[in-house]
Amino acid sequence: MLDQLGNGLLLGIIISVASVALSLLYGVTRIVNFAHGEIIALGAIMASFFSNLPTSRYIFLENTSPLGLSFELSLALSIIICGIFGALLELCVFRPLRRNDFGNIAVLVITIGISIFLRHLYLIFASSKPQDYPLDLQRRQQYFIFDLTPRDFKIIVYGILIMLIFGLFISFTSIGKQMRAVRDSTELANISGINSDRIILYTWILSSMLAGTAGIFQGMINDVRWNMGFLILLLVFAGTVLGGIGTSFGAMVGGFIIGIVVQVSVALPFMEGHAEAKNAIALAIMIFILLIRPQGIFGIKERIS
Amino acid sequence: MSNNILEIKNLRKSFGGLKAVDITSLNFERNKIISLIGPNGAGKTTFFDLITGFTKQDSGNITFDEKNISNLESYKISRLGMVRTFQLTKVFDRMTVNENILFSASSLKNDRFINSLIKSSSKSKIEQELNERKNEVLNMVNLYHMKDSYARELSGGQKKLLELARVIIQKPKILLLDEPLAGVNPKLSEDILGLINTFVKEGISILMVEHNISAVMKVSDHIVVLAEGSVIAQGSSDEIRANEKVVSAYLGKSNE
Amino acid sequence: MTDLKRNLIGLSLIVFSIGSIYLLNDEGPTRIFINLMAFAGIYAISAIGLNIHFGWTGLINFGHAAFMGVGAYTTILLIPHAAGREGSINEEGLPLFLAILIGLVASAIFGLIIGLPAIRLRGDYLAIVTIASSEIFRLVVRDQENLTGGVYGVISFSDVFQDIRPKFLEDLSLRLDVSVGQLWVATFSWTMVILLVFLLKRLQNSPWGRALRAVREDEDAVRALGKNAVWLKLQSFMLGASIAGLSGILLAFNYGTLQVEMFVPLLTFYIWAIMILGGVGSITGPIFGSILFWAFISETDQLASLIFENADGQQIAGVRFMLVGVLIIALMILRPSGIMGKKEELLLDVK
Repeated sequence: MLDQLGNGLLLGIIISVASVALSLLYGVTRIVNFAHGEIIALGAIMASFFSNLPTSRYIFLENTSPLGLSFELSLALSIIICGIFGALLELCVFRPLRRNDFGNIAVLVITIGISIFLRHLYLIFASSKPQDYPLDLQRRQQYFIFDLTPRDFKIIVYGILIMLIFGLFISFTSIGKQMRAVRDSTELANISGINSDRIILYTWILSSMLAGTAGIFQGMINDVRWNMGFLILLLVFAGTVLGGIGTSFGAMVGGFIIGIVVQVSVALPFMEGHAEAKNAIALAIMIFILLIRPQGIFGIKERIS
Repeated sequence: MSNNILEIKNLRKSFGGLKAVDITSLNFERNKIISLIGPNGAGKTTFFDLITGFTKQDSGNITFDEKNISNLESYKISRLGMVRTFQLTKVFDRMTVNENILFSASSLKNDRFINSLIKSSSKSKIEQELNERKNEVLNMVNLYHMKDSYARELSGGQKKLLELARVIIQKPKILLLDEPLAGVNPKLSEDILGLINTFVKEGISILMVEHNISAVMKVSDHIVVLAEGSVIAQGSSDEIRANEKVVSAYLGKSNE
Repeated sequence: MTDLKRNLIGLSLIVFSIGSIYLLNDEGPTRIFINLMAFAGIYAISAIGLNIHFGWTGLINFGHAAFMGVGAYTTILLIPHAAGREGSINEEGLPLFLAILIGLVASAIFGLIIGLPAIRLRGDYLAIVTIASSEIFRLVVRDQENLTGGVYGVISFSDVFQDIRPKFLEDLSLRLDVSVGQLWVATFSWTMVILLVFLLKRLQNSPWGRALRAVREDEDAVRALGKNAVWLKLQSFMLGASIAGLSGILLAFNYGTLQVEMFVPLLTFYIWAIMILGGVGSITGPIFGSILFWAFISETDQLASLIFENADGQQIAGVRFMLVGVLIIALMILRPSGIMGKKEELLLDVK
């Protein structure tokens, strides 16, 4: 059980960061972004492309080798690329859609199209073979009561740090406050002089960067696959729903709980021999929450039916 | 049989700490035109929602035609004979005027999946009757010439007429009209008031929320004034016009 | 645009796409055509079911694949089959028509189970719940190896479906040089499509059909007029689910095997693409959408070979799916009413 708890912490951090990203985006833009998983994957795949050695066996596209840059540099570049990608999505796709009054359902379907397109673009780009970062193998040590590698521990620490910084950002900076204003009411925000277009752009950038970071974490802990985003997408939805719509803190907590529940559930007696179905538990929780307490743990009651 | 078609006792509803409706006792007589007026935010539409089952009350008793409907679902209340319209017209945009009315006119038994699947000889008779009633009502509201148009193509006033047609074809016991004259030009207002009078003559009770005070004064048998969720006055138009409380709470804001 | 004009455009598109198959393929074009028609027929049935959910009732169902899966697994497990890694054989089985009937009922019941809680949710939340339910279905099926064969699936099952194949098809298949099994699946599927179209045409302008559309338009008004909107939605959900179940059964017969990975969300999105392409809310839309869609993606293999020098299976599949994504996006932006949809009845809220 303790073993799984450590794994749960790690998965929890990943889903937590990704949930915060999704929750922020939904809060400000009201878009349920089914392509969110692909942005997560983008971070991971780019990091692999940048950091793996040219001599490694990974081939990108038809015959391009990875670049062999330092891991730190690769991380930074990948996250920046994710940010740029998010900006491009907003500028080239979602802003025009907004201008043309596209409704929520239409936008939803479009994000699905984008998700399908990107995911298979990654398939062509990175092939179907799982990839790992060029990091040395580490042994697990004792951290408090958990068995983690030093890298795992660092990820948890960095993850928590990122969320703390995000929390401070969203609460105290001017842009953060404007984001919250737009999230609470776009009309009011516009009236009070906030440039909602610009805030939405910043939101896309921030959300994508966070998503990319979550993807890199996932790549470090597990591996990098073309469809890794899609696999984790529903868990991220679960985390966001559980924590509560419209609250970043809720998404943090919700994501964490889902991650822990998924991993720890494997240790439960009735899950004996059914480890693969662990995701189903998280999904069932999400459905349950939507039915019983749709605003999640921390959310405000929104019209959900 | 009681003289009251609707009886309200201790009806209370709050939204997150804010009191929306707080009515100790309120009765509505049969076969009259009763208007519910009051400043914005007085709780009029919430009141409608509560008695028609669209919102659940915190506490209280609602009796309709001597039946306790306090916890009944909205569609069941409607079937008992209390039919309402909405502040923002809710016509079925992507269906034709014909279909809007046929939907309302069609009985529940007729709506059944099996019945729709199997065409029997009695069905064509039902269809015919339905069509006749539909045309009657369409003529009454002067929309017959638009019967094949999509409802979204109708003007605001025409949509109000369509909504009226839709509710009247069900031959309700009481009609709850939520701002039937909102955004309607004076000529059409006259027509709608005329229709309302016709309904009353046919035995239907009318309860309406309205901001058009001159219309309310002209046509109502009884007026109830709501402010901040409670009844502050009720009576005839003369009584209300003279009532100090009402004047200060509402009439001071004058006819919109 | 009148109905007639729309039908003509749809028809010419179909003729064009089928024609291009014959033009672009020297070897065995008829075999490709029959293969295409088998899949197109099956997917058209599924899209008809989805159309009832979304086109008629306005329900955003992203879990359609599970309805197909429930039908398929129920029926296949009720006829003699061999499942799991060992291929353990179940000799016993019900007669084919009974197995199919139970499969259809099972799908409807699954629709009821999902629908009961979910139907009250708002659009985007209904989407999430349905896709989550679909994934739970897939994960549970994968997990229950004893029953369903788990990841190995039902490797083979008895030929009962082919046993009822009419004799004349065998001559026809020889003459056309196509697989007789697939010819039968295609024939059967399209017969079902035609039956369903007749069924739906009758329902569409019926009081029941009208009631569904009213629910789609404004549920509050429906309730205010004395009709039980929730029950209507549930009925729609069950009917569409059952029809999807039929398509799932035929899909299994077409492949000759039953694997849980056949029922992934991507399948659901394929059906959505077909429904949108054909025209949301149109009864014949799925026919046009499905044929065009399958013609489109069967020709993308050619495209992939053009782009990549040594296109491997993966890259071909990748290009194919990328194009599906592009198709969905393009449709939504350029022509959300699809081929047969009426602009006045546009459901995909695009202004």
